Amino acid sequence: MKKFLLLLLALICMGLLAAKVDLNTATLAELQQLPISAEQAKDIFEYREYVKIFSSIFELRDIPSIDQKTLLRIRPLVVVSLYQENNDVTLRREVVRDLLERLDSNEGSMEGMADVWEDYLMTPQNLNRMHFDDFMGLPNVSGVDAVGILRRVAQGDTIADARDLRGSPGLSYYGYTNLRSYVYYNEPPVKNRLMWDAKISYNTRYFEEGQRDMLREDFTRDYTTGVVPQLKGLSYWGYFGLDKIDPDIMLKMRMRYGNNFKMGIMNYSGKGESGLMTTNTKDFIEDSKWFAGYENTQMPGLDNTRLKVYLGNYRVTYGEGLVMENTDYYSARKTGFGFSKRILGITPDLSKTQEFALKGGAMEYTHPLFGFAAFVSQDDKDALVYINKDGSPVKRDEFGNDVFTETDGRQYYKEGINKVYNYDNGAPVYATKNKVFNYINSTIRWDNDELMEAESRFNTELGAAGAFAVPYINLAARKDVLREKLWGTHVQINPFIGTKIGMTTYTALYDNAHFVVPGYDEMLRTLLRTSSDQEKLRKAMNGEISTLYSTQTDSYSRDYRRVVGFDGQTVIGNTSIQGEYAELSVLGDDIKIGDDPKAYLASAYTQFDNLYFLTLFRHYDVDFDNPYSNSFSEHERFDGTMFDGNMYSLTNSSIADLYLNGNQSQPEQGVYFETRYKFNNYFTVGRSYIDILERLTDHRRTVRFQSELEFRPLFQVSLRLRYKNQVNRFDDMADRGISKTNEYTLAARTFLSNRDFLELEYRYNTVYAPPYLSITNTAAEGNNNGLAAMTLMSGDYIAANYTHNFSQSLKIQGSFLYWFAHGISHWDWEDMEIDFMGERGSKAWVAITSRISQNLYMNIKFRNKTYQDKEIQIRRYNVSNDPILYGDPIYLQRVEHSENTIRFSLDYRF
Amino acid sequence: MLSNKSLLLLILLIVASALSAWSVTDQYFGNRLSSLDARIYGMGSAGTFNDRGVFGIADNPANLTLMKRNFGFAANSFIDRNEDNRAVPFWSQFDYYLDDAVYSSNIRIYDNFAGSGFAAHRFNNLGLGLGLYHKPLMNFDAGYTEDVRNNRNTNDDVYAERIALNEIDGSGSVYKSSLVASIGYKLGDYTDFNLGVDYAMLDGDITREKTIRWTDFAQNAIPTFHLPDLTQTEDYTISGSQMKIGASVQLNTRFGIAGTYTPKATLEKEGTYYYKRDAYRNTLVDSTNVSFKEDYIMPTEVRFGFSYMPRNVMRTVFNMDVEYVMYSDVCDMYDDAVNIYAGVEHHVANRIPFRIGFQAVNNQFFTTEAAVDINNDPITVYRVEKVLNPMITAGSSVTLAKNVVLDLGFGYTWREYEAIDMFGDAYYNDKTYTGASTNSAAIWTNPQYVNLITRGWENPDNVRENSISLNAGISVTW
Repeated sequence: MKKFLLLLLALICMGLLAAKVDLNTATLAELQQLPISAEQAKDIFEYREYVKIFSSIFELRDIPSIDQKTLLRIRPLVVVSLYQENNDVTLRREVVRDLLERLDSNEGSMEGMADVWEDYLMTPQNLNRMHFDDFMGLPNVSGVDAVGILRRVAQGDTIADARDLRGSPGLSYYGYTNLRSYVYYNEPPVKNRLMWDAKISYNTRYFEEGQRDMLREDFTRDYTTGVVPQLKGLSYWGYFGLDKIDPDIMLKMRMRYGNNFKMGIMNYSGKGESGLMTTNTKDFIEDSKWFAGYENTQMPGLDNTRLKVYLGNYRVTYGEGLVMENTDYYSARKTGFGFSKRILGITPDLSKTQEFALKGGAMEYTHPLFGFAAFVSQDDKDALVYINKDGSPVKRDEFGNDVFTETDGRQYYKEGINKVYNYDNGAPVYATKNKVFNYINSTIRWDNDELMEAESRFNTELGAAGAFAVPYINLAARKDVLREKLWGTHVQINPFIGTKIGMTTYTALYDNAHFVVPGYDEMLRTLLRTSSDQEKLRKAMNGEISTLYSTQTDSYSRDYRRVVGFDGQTVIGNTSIQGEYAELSVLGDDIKIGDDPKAYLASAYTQFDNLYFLTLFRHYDVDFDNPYSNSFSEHERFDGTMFDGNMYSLTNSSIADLYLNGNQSQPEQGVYFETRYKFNNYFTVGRSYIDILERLTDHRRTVRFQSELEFRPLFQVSLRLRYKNQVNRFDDMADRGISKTNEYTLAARTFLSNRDFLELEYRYNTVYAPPYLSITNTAAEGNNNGLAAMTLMSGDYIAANYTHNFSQSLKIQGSFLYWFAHGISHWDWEDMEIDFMGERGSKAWVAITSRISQNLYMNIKFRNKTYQDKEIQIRRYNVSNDPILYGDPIYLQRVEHSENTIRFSLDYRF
Repeated sequence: MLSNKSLLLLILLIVASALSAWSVTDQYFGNRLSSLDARIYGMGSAGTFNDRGVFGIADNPANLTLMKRNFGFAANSFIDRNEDNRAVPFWSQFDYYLDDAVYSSNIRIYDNFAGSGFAAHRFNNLGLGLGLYHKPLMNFDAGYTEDVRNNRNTNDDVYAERIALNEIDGSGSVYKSSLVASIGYKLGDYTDFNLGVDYAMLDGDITREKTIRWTDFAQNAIPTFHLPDLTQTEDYTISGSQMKIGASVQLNTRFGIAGTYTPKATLEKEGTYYYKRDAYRNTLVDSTNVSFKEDYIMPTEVRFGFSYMPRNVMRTVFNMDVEYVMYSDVCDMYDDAVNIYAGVEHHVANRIPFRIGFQAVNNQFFTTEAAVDINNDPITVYRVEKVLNPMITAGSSVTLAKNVVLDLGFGYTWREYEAIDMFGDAYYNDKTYTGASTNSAAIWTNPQYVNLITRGWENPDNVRENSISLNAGISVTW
């Protein structure tokens, strides 16, 4: 009987329990059965649906309409079941959320690498099967770290978890903390499944100062006689109406199945270019980047071999980037260590790079002991081409070149400045090829038809003057004019753990064009509009221009460019030594060392747990012109040449794009030393370096030093002091090229609360330098009175940055800064982009990051920047131009700009 | 909660202020107003799917039954501060275009008012609703003043004399008075389908006057001659009707989608054009007074939007709309435009919403210029400027009483474009009025430095406008 009663009681309890309403699964109708109002039932339902899953009955009190009385009334009638709404992907995303957001904020500077790292964050690699180069491609992981892990694995040890990983001999603290999010040990956190990301970005940016000056430069009548038409339409700016607000728009979509199958497409239209709504389908496809790829880390046959195959756009990077690292973007002091990384090998490419993008097929097969890669590409490149004056009855080809027809019916280009010889027999080359000066990464990629129409208008004006040495546009950018077929290979042997020797080579075939760069004197005549400028700008560093690679010279005629190089790396103890040697085949043998323009780099990285040293030496010959290199350097190519700051003298101001958007390193030789040391929890010497280098064109020597000290008395508070010093031409104080720069920065950072972060920063700079005498003095002997003209310029900068997190889903960042910088410029790293600021002004920006759901992110940023930048001379309006009667009629004025910028992006990740 | 007296005061304040316009450039469309629902305005005007705001019925008639409310009333005001800066190109000594020098800066504040109401009833799963609203659709209010000063005294740090005053004064709006009907069918607790139709009467009375008035100083400086004043007035009405149909579909607890279609409407524009230039020297008064009656085209608009309501630690709504406007209906020179609207609402704390939004809307400015062809015959040059208006918005709400909500939306927008100088410099060339071979030194000191020719499209003005706006709406629903 007792048993029966107990059983009955249990059944009643179960029945009661079964009748209870589960707050996490009940339908609205079921909730409405509870003794509460329909409104309250709806509030409960919507709280669960739109705010959170219940983890306790007492969370009902978070709903405004549910008071304590109601809670007590329904408490016996409801239950809260365990309910898991997250799948493995969303859980993984939560784990790596901070890192993902950090990568997003650096995407602009990472040139597409953020995509690769994001993939590895979401679907990590198996630590116990990774190759040496896999480690080297991850941020802040060094060769010493990689060897520490690989040796353990090679000895048969299996690293089981993060704690086990931390115990690996030789693995630094930084290596460990950065590596652990990119790897798994036993089971992958996310099983193979389809994932996709889609992103829209809309940005109404302004052109940078140099780009704006270039585009505004007029093709005017003879300015030496003072006849000034003053028509806006005679510059690219006025002709194309660039005063308008015109956004950059980027659309990107990527799909992948685990790390095996990947595909993506990206379209980017920059300010001033045909947008999505105005372009036609053909151009849209041509200007879009895409890829489809397959990766397998467990190839049959040899153990632990992997294969990557990509079609479409891809990036290739090997060694130190001397032979091949294709990008449009220059990055100073790219060491390949810390966060200044290279991802070695072949990776898909949806970056904004257009000019040095590779499109075709690429494969890579790697084993712990060896590796092999091959890549082919065919893509039309933009180029700076020689063109003739448009005049009847000359026929023009599609690129604006004048075309003549011989009696035998063959067409050739007009002789004269465009004369192209075949050096085998001295005969002119017939019109099957374009004459190209160089690749060009244009600020605005206009269509060729648009450009030719504009140039026709400019030529009318130039021709009317007759006073210019070159009274027509003889060099101009053309979109997709250069048909480039490129193929290359990389082979690599890894005889020991941490040691590798590789060889990389590529050949770019130009079957519809000749690269022709005239000698120094003719080059000046070709590039500079007036004969007086040709004398004035006879600068040594212009040698960088005249030594650009030609496929047509007095010595040879060919249609390709070939670069061959060797790279190697070895780890000895806690030091990793690596380097690369490359040659551009010109006159010498392709594989003979030392007979062609060369570039080489060697570095040693020594690592301790809280300290590292990096020592790096590089040398790049002046005539080592490899557009696909992206190696360590202090300056970009053409710095200080006539393309930099003398755009008003050029036959076509847009030639200055070669400098403004250049991607290559300048020819230089130097030693770089970098360190970072964490004394204890209070004091850290941040990334500090000294670089001593010589620009090889004019042998200008420069030393640059930077150091940073951080004092953190509490976790929430830190003080940072940074000092930077740069002296150009330090070896010759009497030379007018000397300049000395000092920059002092003090920053105080504090977390006011768990949700609020405040930073105050003050910076003071001085620059001691000569003014630009080339504007006022002829650069003739005796006029070089630099010492008398040295000027001390100073500037300072004060900023307040504030971040408030309303919750994990809503963050507001804002900044206000004011700067004064007479003659110098400041820089500021905003939320995810760098901004350069000249002269004086103020700036305020606010960025709101809204995490709409676990998958959808929205970011809105607004910036106002008001500044003065240019000193101009204005004659007083109503006084005669007679300085004796009226005093100096000229006074100086500065031009003020006010810029509103908005950036909007939506990012969906599944 | 506010007291009754405070509430009354607040309503009076809102009613007293009213909604507005700002640009003197677009004489055809004036300024087309965004969503008047203050909540949606703070979310970048992305409100094609709007299940909460009374004024949502103006964006999409199907929103009426989507709201699932029995009655609703709303009053809205819209205050706008517009800044218009016009600049001429500025040249450096190296002859290149350097920047722009602002010669005219006008700041005006405009306001306007709108109201709406509806009633709906549900018969089991079927909902029916009727609504009314009255709102400005396009506003032609404009105020512009430009001083014409001579070149005297500038080296003595004093102002130069004003010789003429140029003004543009525009007023009037095209109002939309609509009757809205909607039908909805409920398929589940969070699934329903709604269809609506909006029939609107459009009516506007617009006046635009452009004047040039020489100052007494200028008239007295050359007493033997008369400098002619100029008056140009357009006074017209726009009237007609417009239809809009819409659908709003709540798919589930997470998603809603919606779309509207507004076919091309041909309205009637009727009025008079008056022109008068005073007599001078041996030239008689030039005066014209003509009547005109012409079609006025409102372009076809198609708009799609969605609303996404995820689970988030802060209750969140994300709305996004894409609109296609067929400006080619109006004129072959116009390109069709795509406009984007997006916004998010987070309930930050204590259910106080924080809204942010973004919109990118294109305008088309149509201008003409007198020129000559290759035979020297006078022709008119037409030009269309497609101008982008990016806008950022923010907003919040205050619950004043049960079912009574005050919504506030803020917006900041700007645009930069080229425009023809509205008052050509040749008019101020006193040689025309005196018959002298040079300008009078009494008006233009050092006349040799004055080159009074009218700039055309070869050297246009650069216009930079910005607007800060506040949209306040009070709504009652139950």
